Amino acid sequence: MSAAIPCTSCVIGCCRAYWVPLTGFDLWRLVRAQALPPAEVAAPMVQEKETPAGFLLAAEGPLHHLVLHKRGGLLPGHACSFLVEFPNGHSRCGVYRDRPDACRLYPFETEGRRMGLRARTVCPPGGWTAEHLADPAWRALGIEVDRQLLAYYEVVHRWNVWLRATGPREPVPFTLYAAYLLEAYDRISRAPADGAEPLPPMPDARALPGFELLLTEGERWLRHHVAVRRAVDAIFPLLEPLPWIWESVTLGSAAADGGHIPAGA
Amino acid sequence: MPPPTPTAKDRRFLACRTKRCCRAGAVTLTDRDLVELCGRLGIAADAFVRAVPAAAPRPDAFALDDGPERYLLVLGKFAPREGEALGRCVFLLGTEGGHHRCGVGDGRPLTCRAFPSVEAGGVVLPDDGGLCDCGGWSPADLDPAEERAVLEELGAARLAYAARVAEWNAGVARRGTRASVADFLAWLGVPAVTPAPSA
Repeated sequence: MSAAIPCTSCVIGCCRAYWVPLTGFDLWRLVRAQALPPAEVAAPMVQEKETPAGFLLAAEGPLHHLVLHKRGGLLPGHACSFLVEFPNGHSRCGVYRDRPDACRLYPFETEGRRMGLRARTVCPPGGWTAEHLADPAWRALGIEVDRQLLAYYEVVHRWNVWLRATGPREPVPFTLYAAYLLEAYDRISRAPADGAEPLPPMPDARALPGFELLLTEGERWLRHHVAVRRAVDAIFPLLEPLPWIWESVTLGSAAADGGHIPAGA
Repeated sequence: MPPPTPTAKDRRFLACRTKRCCRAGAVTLTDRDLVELCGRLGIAADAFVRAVPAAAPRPDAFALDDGPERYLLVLGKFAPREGEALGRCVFLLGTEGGHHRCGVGDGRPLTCRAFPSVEAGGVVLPDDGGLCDCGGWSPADLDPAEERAVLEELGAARLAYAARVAEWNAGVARRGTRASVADFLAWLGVPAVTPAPSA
């Protein structure tokens, strides 16, 4: 990424100001790389505005975000659990290699499947500019983040359908959902990248305005998504998958999952 | 991108909750460690390094004037918190559940990467020097070829650093004026002082 990154001398605190939403992939990557219990990495937080990434813990309960833990509890202003804070006031991410996609992409987002600077950030004015966004590396990152987000919708969908069908009134433990995510993403990670399965035909890009990032990936995205369906089919074999994204009207409004959630706004 | 597959040593290290070695040990640094850490973190050495007096003469001990005192560069530590006997390394992260992880991971100093391996008579074996309280290391935790490679890297880095320290010490004695730790770091080519924050 060619333009200078303005974060190195910044101490404003994006790592304190937000709740960081995770996908199942984010949780899996952190838990597997750091060998930590999932409940020490993430926690459920009730969604104020429901999104396709919202998961149930009871059949008739609210939907939850999966959010990165903060030190001392999920409270506004608290530092991320993984923030290394130095005695001279500076800080750095302590799991940089394995950090969540929302942190990799910040302060950009893929709202409506288009890359852009977030409308409100805590960054110093002028720190991040269009010059950064012009870098192809950011666009490639946006595509990858979008791919993982859409895959997560499929993973969450099956869990929610299963939970509604089995009907527990009392909440199931968060660790059960986390265990499901780990198994699903273990299976996805083992799927061959060049699987020979037949792929459904994708519509012409012009039929999907607003989904340019997704369509840039074309067949690669589709292969990954078929692998995701296979993985969750193996866990919940009798449940219907989500409609393909071009058959669905609900996913186009999923922008709320695209980035950090302001904490205590 | 999937996470890299942990080695047996990684798993053994990750399984340790307390990381006493990151509290009880003093991690001496070479110029190579400093350049790599500053580059990786985009931060100057003053965030994580401190100079401590060397108790005895050693090749990596540097002078600040023409007197007999010598100093070592070590990883900084926080003062012990209430109820703790030992301060923790500035890079040590603690989770809410009591697990601890290194905040620089693969970028940690060579001394930490080599720990607890030593080579004796051509054989690589674990020797934690009494720093661990997590049950003891076994040779089965170590891949001899990988450990030997890290130990060789560490040995070479220490030799190269000792040569630079000797050159610095000779210069200090020749000039006869007092230098600062920041002067020494700058001479090594290490960013010494973090610029003022942008907010």
